[in-house]
Amino acid sequence: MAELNTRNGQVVGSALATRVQTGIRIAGRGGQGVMLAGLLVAQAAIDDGLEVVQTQSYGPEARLGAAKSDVILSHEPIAYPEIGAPDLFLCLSHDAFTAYGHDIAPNTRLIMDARAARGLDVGEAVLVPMVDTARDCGAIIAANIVGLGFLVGMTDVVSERSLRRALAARARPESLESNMRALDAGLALAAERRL
Amino acid sequence: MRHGEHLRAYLREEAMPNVWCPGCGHGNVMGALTRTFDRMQLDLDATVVIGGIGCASRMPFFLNTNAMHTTHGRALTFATGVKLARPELTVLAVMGDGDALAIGGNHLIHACRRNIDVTALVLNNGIYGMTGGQLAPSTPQSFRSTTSALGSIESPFDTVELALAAGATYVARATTFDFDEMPQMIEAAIRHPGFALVEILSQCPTYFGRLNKLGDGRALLDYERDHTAPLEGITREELAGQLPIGVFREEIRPEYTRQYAALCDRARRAGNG
Amino acid sequence: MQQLIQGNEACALGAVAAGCSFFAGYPITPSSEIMEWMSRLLPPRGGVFIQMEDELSSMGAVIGASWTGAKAMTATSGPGFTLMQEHIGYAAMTETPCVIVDGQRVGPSTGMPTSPAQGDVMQARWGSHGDRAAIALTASSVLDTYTMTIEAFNMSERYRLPVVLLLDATLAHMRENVILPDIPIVNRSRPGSIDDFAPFGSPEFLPLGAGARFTVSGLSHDEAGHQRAAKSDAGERLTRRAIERVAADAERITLTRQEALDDAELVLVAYGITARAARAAVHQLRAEGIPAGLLELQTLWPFPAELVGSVARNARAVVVAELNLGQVVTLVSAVAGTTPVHHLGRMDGALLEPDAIAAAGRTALHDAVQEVGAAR
Ligand SMILES: Cc1ncc(C[n+]2csc(CCOP(=O)(O)OP(=O)(O)O)c2C)c(N)n1
Ligand code: SF4
Ligand SMILES: [Mg+2]
Repeated sequence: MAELNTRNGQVVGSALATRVQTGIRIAGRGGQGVMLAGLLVAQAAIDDGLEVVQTQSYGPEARLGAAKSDVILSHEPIAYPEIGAPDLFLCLSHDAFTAYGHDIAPNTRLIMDARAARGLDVGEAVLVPMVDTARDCGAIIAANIVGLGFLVGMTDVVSERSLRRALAARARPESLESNMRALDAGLALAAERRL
Repeated sequence: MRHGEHLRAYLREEAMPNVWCPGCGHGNVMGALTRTFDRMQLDLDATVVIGGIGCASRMPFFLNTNAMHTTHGRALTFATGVKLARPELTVLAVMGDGDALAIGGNHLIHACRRNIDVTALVLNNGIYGMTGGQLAPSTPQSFRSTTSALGSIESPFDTVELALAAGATYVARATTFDFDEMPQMIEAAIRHPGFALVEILSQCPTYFGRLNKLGDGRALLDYERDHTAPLEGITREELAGQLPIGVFREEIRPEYTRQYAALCDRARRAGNG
Repeated sequence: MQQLIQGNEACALGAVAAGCSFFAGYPITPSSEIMEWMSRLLPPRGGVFIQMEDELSSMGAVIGASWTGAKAMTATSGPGFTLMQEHIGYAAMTETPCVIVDGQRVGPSTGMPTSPAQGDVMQARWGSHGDRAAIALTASSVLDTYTMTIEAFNMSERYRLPVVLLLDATLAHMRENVILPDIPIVNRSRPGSIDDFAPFGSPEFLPLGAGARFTVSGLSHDEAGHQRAAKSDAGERLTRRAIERVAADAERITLTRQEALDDAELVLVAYGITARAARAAVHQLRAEGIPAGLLELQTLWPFPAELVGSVARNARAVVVAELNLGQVVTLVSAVAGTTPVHHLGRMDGALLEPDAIAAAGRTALHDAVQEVGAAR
């Protein structure tokens, strides 16, 4: 976790003031692969030797409208399982921002689909054309993977290698190729912008 | 040995005397069961009789088989667990009408639907005997009970129609008057590879008889005779208010525990899990 | 190998590892995934899975299966747990080993189906009518869920009791990385000979169909299974014996995690998911120089009164944190002597946060010190 040794603004941060842990929220419309994206980050983090807690929205909440998957990554055992204000917020849809944007703290880094951000006050969000890029990769449904690629490319929260391995293990065989293309595209977008 | 004395082997002497009132029909049913077990030479060690709660459901205590006396209305749920976990056992559930049709009605229809190889005996005396003669879901309209002193305004369940509709694959009705036919139906039900239900009209002189001024146990047996008619060769019209007696359905459909065993084989071959 | 698994999945895997070969259940959030997993895990292993028509029947089938010798379980949540109570009592009365998992959600009634709570603590002990021996366990992590499920089976087999494992909606659905450990399994002990064996009141278990024919009944009965339904001490004798079996082994049954208690002036008592926030609060308070410690109760029933009492009496203040409006706190208060016991609870569907627990702890300790000062 080279760049983002951020501490969580509120609860967890103060509770674990001496620890290094990162809270990631991935949110989007139901069907955008938010759960899968969360599982991929979590799985990759485990391969990198980190401790992980993953939670997600359930029930009607997860089927209609917006859905979220929260992942905490840490070098040490994770006590409190909720992320509070996320350090990283990957947002794929307009509705998801409305539903889950309220947890954002000043130090939350928001990465948002460029189209979905239209008409929203998203502050200093990093806008990324996730859906458009996924469409160019031949799988509009892989916007989540473009976003993940960008997030990892920009922050190194998990290693690219572990993420690829997690994707290879979890993606359906028939969609693996387009997913890998989407991942590469996301990483490339990050490389362009990397500070 | 006196005639019938050998049947004592099917009773648990140390649990006697039984709890039933003189003239109670539940004893007639237990007698029929001992004769059935004897005729079938049933392996008592591999037989489990499961009752719910009520006068009828006390029967497991007095039979010399493996026995469970469970909770009101739920005998069939325990029977389902026993049978599924050890399909080689012969499992009977003995229930009262309140047991099977009121509090346990849901379990009854689902056991019928699953077609699990359990024999259900519903001892229908039209009343709640054990708790003192209250209205049952089988009490005939206008009949009296301690909670329907002016006569019941409810329509009773027809146990047979209910079991048929719910998918039981052996369905029969007998009365305690039918000394020979009742054990024959019970035997056919036990032999039947699927869910089998025998409704047995039984007499409760203490409450049903007394509250409805129908007399003692013997008088109630006559009452049963006069208000039922053999199913064969009779039309609905000809029944004229009498309840048909006989075997309503006997058909073979895939049985639950066998289907489950096949499913396990499939799962094993697929190597999943 | 590190695996990423969900709490409910860990529960199902634990059950199978413990030797569970029978599951009956009825779908309910947040526990349905346990039965979904069991429906996949059991058939290829030759075990039985059945989805019943409700929770009463699920528990009935579990008890029936257990009496054939199978290790049997069900999983549910509040509304279903309430429906199961009559049969949990029956299992206690008949000394039937079985496991009931209750993924707690906010109640009463339908409440908040997807939100965590810890409101079933008392129901796990007293939900069924009458007195009885009871064991109820908790878990605070996905790994814990696996090991405590196995513990639940082991205890149910060893003591011939229905054992309740209390989870919650958060734990049920969250995923963590775990390495599943090998845990020793307890199998039901059978009597050496069936001649003259009394089927009740003994830690040994003789299933139905094993050659000795007797009646299993929820009526008060004696050691042989004969009903003693009126004016008899047989039922009390057997219930006392079951309670004593548990009491005699209390040390082995009452599991706790103790953290930084040696010099703790402030003791936080918590269990299940809330123990994690309490642990974070202890770290936070220690970082501030406040001598705080944590007592995590992994076993709620039998309640470890002696241990809790001595820990509490050695402290200046105690805070009990739980997702209800005051259940375990009543037990802690009863044994804390003169040490003030504070309660921090909620039932709005959110977890107690470390900050809130730390703040309650700070205030509790501050007040206790002030009071002593004032008394001087
Ligand atoms: C949950 C529950 N509710 C009520 C009772 C009380 N109770 C015991 S037996 C019975 C009715 C018995 O009637 P039936 O099933 O017709 O059997 P019978 O006594 O007539 O043979 C009732 C209501 C009970 N034991 N448990
Ligand atoms: S009350 Fe009725 S059903 Fe019960 S034993 Fe007496 S006669 Fe039989
Ligand atoms: Mg009756």
